[in-house]
Amino acid sequence: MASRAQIHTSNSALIAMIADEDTVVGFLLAGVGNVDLRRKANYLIVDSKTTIKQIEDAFKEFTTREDIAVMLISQYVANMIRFLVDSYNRPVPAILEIPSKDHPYDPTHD
Amino acid sequence: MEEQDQMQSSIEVEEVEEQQREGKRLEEENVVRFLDSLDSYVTLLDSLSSTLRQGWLELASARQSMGASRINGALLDLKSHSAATSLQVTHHDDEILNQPHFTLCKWASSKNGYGDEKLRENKLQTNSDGPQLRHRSQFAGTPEKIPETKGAPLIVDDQVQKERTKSLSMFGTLVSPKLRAAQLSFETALETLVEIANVRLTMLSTSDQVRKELEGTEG
Repeated sequence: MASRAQIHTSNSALIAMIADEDTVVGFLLAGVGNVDLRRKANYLIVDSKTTIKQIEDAFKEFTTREDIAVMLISQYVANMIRFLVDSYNRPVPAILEIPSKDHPYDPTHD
Repeated sequence: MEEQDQMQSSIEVEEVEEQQREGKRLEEENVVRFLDSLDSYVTLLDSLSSTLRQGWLELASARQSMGASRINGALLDLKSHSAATSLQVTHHDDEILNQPHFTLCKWASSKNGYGDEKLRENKLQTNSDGPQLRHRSQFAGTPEKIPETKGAPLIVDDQVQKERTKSLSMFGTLVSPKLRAAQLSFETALETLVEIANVRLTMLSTSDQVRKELEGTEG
């Protein structure tokens, strides 16, 4: 449920991603990739070697950055940090759970 | 005197009934708005799944023709660069819908001198009467909308193609047509995602209002 937090308007906000390689590569082809001067990217590729802590840290970082308006997260990744995702209740950045190649979208988890 | 009192009380009763009817009408409107947004949300998610599947398939085909070593995460550019596709976040001052609104800006570049920001307005929720520019590549097969200014569409299309090529260049100079097709699919998926984001906000907002009204009725 969205709370009435202060909403910042922005003319060029980013789309962050926490997803599998194919999904991230696809969206990067569409031009959403951003790397700042500190070499911090707006995406995290999740594979078999990615730890839960890395996913949690990325989630916390992306949801606290003011330049990110929407965050895409593969639903199977969101399930790994479900408590963190469900406890998030701000309207921006908006968290969108998306299907992945190997895990179709399940509406009961959203 | 008694007649005046009776008239006064009947007027008051009518006013109260009118207010109740108005309140009921607003409640029903909120419920309808919530159900509409829920329906849109489910439909858009289905469309997104379909588009993503197409994109993944095209990406797999490109990987097969170009080689797995040429399309993988290790090739991603980690040098400092700005996103070519971003979002514009505006805030509605609507009493009913107090929520932000997202607009996708595809292949917008602040470095060129043409000022060719591409705004893709959300079809489901548009409050602005501003111009809508829709530009698709030659692969899409859909005729392009031509703005009134002569020469501008060619310049803008050229710029968009340059941005697309630049994005593809991280996988080499010569890329498979399937990779270009995958790029278009993921662009379409982005547009759908922005619509989903807006519809989701409406859904959460109206759901909140309906819940409050129900709690008010029970209390």
